[in-house]
Amino acid sequence: MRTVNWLLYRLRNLWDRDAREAELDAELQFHIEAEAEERIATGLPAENARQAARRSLGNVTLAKEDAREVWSWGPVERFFQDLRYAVRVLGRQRSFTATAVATIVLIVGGTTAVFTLVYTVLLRPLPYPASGRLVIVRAQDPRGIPGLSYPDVQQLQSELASVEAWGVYRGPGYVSTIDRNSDNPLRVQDMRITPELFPLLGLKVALGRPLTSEDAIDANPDVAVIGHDLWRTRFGGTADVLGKSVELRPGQPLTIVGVAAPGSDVPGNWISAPIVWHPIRGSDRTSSNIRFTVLARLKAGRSVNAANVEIAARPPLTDPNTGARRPADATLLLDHIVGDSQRVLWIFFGAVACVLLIGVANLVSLQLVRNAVRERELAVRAALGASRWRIIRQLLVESLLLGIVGGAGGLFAASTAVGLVTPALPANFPRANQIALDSAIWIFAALVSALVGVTIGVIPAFRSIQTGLIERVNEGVRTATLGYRRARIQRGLIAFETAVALVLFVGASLLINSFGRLMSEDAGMRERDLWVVRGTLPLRYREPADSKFWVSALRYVRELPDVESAALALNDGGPLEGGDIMMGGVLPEGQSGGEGRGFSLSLRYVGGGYFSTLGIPIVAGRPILDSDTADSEGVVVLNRAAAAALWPGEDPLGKRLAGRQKLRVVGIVPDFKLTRLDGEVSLQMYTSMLQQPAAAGSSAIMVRTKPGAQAMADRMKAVLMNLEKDILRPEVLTMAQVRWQLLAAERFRTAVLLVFAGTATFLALIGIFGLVSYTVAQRHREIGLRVALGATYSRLVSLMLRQALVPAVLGIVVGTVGALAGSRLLAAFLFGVPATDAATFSAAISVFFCAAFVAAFVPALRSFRVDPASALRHE
Amino acid sequence: MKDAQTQFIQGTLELLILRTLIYGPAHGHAIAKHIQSTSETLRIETGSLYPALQRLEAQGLVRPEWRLSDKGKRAKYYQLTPAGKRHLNAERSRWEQFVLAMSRVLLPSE
Repeated sequence: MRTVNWLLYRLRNLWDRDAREAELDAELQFHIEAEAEERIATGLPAENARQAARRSLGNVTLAKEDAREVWSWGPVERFFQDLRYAVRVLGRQRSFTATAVATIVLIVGGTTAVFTLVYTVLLRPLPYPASGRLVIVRAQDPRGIPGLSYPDVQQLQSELASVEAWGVYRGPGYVSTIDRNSDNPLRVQDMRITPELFPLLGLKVALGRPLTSEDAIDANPDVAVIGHDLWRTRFGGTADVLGKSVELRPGQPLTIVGVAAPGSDVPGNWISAPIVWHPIRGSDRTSSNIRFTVLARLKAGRSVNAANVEIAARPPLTDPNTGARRPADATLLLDHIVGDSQRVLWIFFGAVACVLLIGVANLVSLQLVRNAVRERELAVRAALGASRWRIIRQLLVESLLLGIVGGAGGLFAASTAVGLVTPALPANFPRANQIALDSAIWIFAALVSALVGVTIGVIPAFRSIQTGLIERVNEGVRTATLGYRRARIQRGLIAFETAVALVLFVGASLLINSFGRLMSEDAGMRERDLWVVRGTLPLRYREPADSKFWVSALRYVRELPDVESAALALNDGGPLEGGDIMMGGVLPEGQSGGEGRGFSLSLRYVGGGYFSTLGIPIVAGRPILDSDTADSEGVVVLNRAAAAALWPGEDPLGKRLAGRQKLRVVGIVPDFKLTRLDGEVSLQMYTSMLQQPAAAGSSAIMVRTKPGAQAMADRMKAVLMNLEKDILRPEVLTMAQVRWQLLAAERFRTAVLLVFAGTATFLALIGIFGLVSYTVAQRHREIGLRVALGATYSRLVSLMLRQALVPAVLGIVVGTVGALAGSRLLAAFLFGVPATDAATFSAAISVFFCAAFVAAFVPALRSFRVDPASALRHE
Repeated sequence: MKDAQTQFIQGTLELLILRTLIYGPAHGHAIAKHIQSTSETLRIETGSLYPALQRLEAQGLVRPEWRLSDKGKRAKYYQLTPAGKRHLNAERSRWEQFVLAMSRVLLPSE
């Protein structure tokens, strides 16, 4: 209780300090008057009595001081005193404060934003129980179909001792439409699972019951657990939803037995539609062609390696259709989800740490300059009895204040930046939906700000108390030349900043160069006036109705004005989409297939006019025609690489491929880049979409328009929308836009690194600019003296330039070595540019040196403006 | 120990003030006068009185109140709080023990 009283009392006094003082004054005044009256009563004259009374009171100021000490709060008081002083000092030196705060906002904001990405994507555990032991089990498939069939899963389940729990689901990526005959159909995710998935991922139901193993038995009623969002929007969020039904496939209603808790989802799901969870049953359990995602939780203490050893020891999975081996392996779920982003994010983090270092170096340098100007103030304070600790503390409070203000701004900047960057992340960027500023990030930002605040306070503070008192007073009084030691520190900082900035600059230059090459890489087709019209049909379309949809869409597109030609590419068959459909085990007719034999070819299902629309010439034979129908002989067009691989040194025209259909080679096209811009040209085969049944749910129409055709995008999109208003993701893109989309990941990392490199370079240049400006100002009198003694201005400018350029050149040398070593980290992300590309390096270094020269030269010119007469008079 | 009369053992001035306030609220001047006249020897320095009052107020042992003095002037009166009363009782018995102990050593009975 006493403590509380004490605290309240002091807190109150912190605020009404003035009232308190006035009260004490009044109280003492009353004391004097009472004393005087007493003396008057004994017969003393009024004037004398009053004087005597005042004397009897003793030292009033001291009494007040002592009284004040009671209500003041020792160290806290003094801290506030320092704080008020710091606010006043910083408020007066506005340009310094603005520069420092802006720098801190920049570096704290940048590091926090990147840390947010690194933390949410790489460091934060997945939101599942014992997520560190969750693994995904995959099998490699020669046909490129990921996942395991249910029979595969059952084999593994019975044999892997290091796994304690399994969870299997189909998807993500399978969608369906419910209420499809109503006015308001809704797209949902058709999520088929084993009932064990819910406990494995710690998913709960908000209402009803979860799925049980009974539900997975075919004889039992078909049931489902629906997502919380679906319950709220479609079933009014009431309890009577249980027992109602939801129809994913026409005529096959599922009875709702439960509602999943909000936010229930499978790992790495990029689709945002509501989920309907229902058991894997029926043919899903026996087919070897339906593939599932398989999760497993390892027993405590078992490693992924142990699980992989176990998998390797058992007989390999095989494809019952082809007999091909399908080697399986287990990967930590987090590693699987994060994938390639890991390296990119750490590179970002390294880059932003470099920016942080440069920013701090700049601030330290700035502080040194400022303290040099304040040397006299500090010296006088020390002479008046301030201890070293007191002076350091005062400087620290100042820099911490800067750190706090800048840090708060930085946190705000980071949240803005994260808000801007998150939607700009490449599609399928892992865990992008989980990116948010949470407490760990707040702590990180606070730590960085505090660290920055302490660093930029402590180093210069110690530096300025190192010099003796006398020296300092003297130096402060009349300095003809810059204190040599301080300048040495600053030159060191310049060299350091230049080196670090150059590393980033070279890295960003390499990425930009690589990106430019990718954008201008000739894919082998005529991309001008070439459009891609694409979309995904709702699941209610079933083959072959979906290809009929595309055929009629094609007819309407061909009728549009300004359209020169158009062609179909079924099953995501458009060029440069990044994805690929592979056909394995392709051999010439007459050669026997077998395990591991044959070639893997990229397969496209195309309609007539495909090559002419893309602008690809036919090298030999003929293209796929609209007359290649199911009634005529099966045909295939190969690219040169495929032809050369299958029939080396022979004319492939007229020859046939092995297999049931014995497709006849009717044409050869040149090698062009069908799927990706980087990497080798794949072996390609093109079949007629009318002969080969293909899943056409998601397809593309390639369109070539007359040059300068207007408003094509809207008209072509209208064709799709008129035919099917529920078409998903309808898009009309120019090939430039397709490239832009294809290169989303490259674009993203190039842009981010470019921002960091730009910031780092800018900060380093500011450092150089600042040092030279400072030198010119500091050596004002020296310059005046030199001019008076006959020095030419060019000599003066070169003298000033040397100040910054010597360390800058040193920094460039060190930075070049660093860049040579560091650019290897980027090698995996470079296209057409070696990591140590001499041209990029020399260009980057020249640009950097020129910028450094300008940054030094502009302030050096100021030495011209020194008037020797006034400079000397000043002395 | 240049002036034995005016040297206070730490905390005793507060004790005296609290004891004085038993008779009712009083201002600083009255407190000083009362202690001086009652003790006959102790002289209260203003420089110690007012800080002591501040301390007591800070600890919540007295409560200040501005009211008019008998001469019609505004003065700050201090009043004993219940906590102050408890504190006084506790401190007084401790003081008595202390005095007893001191005198046993300093004035041993023959």
